[in-house]
Amino acid sequence: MIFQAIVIPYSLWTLAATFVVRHQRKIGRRYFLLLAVSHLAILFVTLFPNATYPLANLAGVGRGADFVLYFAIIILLRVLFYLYNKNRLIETQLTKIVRHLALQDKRD
Amino acid sequence: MKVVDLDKWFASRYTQDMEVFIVIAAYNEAEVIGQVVDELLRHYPHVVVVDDGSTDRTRELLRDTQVMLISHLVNRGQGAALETGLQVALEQGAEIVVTFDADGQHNVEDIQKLIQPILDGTAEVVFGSRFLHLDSRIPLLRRILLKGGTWLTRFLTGLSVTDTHHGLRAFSRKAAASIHFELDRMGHASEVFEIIARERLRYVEVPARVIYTPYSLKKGQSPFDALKILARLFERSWFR
Repeated sequence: MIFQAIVIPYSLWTLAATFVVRHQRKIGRRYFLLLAVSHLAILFVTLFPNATYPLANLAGVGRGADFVLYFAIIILLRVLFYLYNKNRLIETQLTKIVRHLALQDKRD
Repeated sequence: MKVVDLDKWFASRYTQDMEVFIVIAAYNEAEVIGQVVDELLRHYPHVVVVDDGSTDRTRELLRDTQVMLISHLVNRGQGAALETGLQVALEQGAEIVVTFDADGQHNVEDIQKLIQPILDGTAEVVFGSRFLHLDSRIPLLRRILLKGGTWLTRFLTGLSVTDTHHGLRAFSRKAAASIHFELDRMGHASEVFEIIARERLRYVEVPARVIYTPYSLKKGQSPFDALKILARLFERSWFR
């Protein structure tokens, strides 16, 4: 009950914020859809926790909550990996820019 | 009796036949950079200093010297600064490039020993090694970390060296042109060994002292930095 009391209002709030941000054209359509579906999925699973059991059984995982947890970890790791790579690329590009400016300054 | 100015004779001997460029990466070294470059300029006319976004008076102090000063707008790391310095040295016609630390840990007299194998044509890369120098007094923790670095370098590259993190290194023009540091921070010291193994460059080690002062120990790498370098090296080998 406590978990639902915290997660449901929070999910509704973030869902509303997603709509607002989309209305302000601060995010693209695809990203808006991804966020909206994610928040709705969180809401659904929180309101109807038993709904995850068929999925859990299909995946060979015991409980619905475990299935959600494992799935979330996989997604988070993937996102973390993506962000790490992106950061590496940005750092490399930043160095190239700084070097280019330094050498140009020297040549001038 | 004619008095010979040994300093000028020394400098002219090596610049007549080969253009030797000294490359220094400096970050917040206002305390010692003046002494370091003064000493170098007495023996070597071509000194390139890359100021890596210093926030102290390093850049200001260097402007009053005869060095070729290149300034990074923001701090990018020693590896990035050395790569910039290498490019400048090659553009200026360097035939031998020597990397030299800005914190006063290196001995100018060791440069002579370092470049000799390149002048003789017996090596393309020469590393200094504090473990080959009898007078080196290395703090225990640092010795353990350096030995670990040596083992790791052997494991990753197959190269047999005694000191993998000595900043005093000399490269022939051919070697300098094939080296491009991709690791911006301190990982370049280990990265160079991968490049040597890949390009099959001839290398040798010579004894070269590292002078540990309270200042240089304060600015040096911590054990945590060693872990970060390790992580970057493994990451490079995974993501290549």
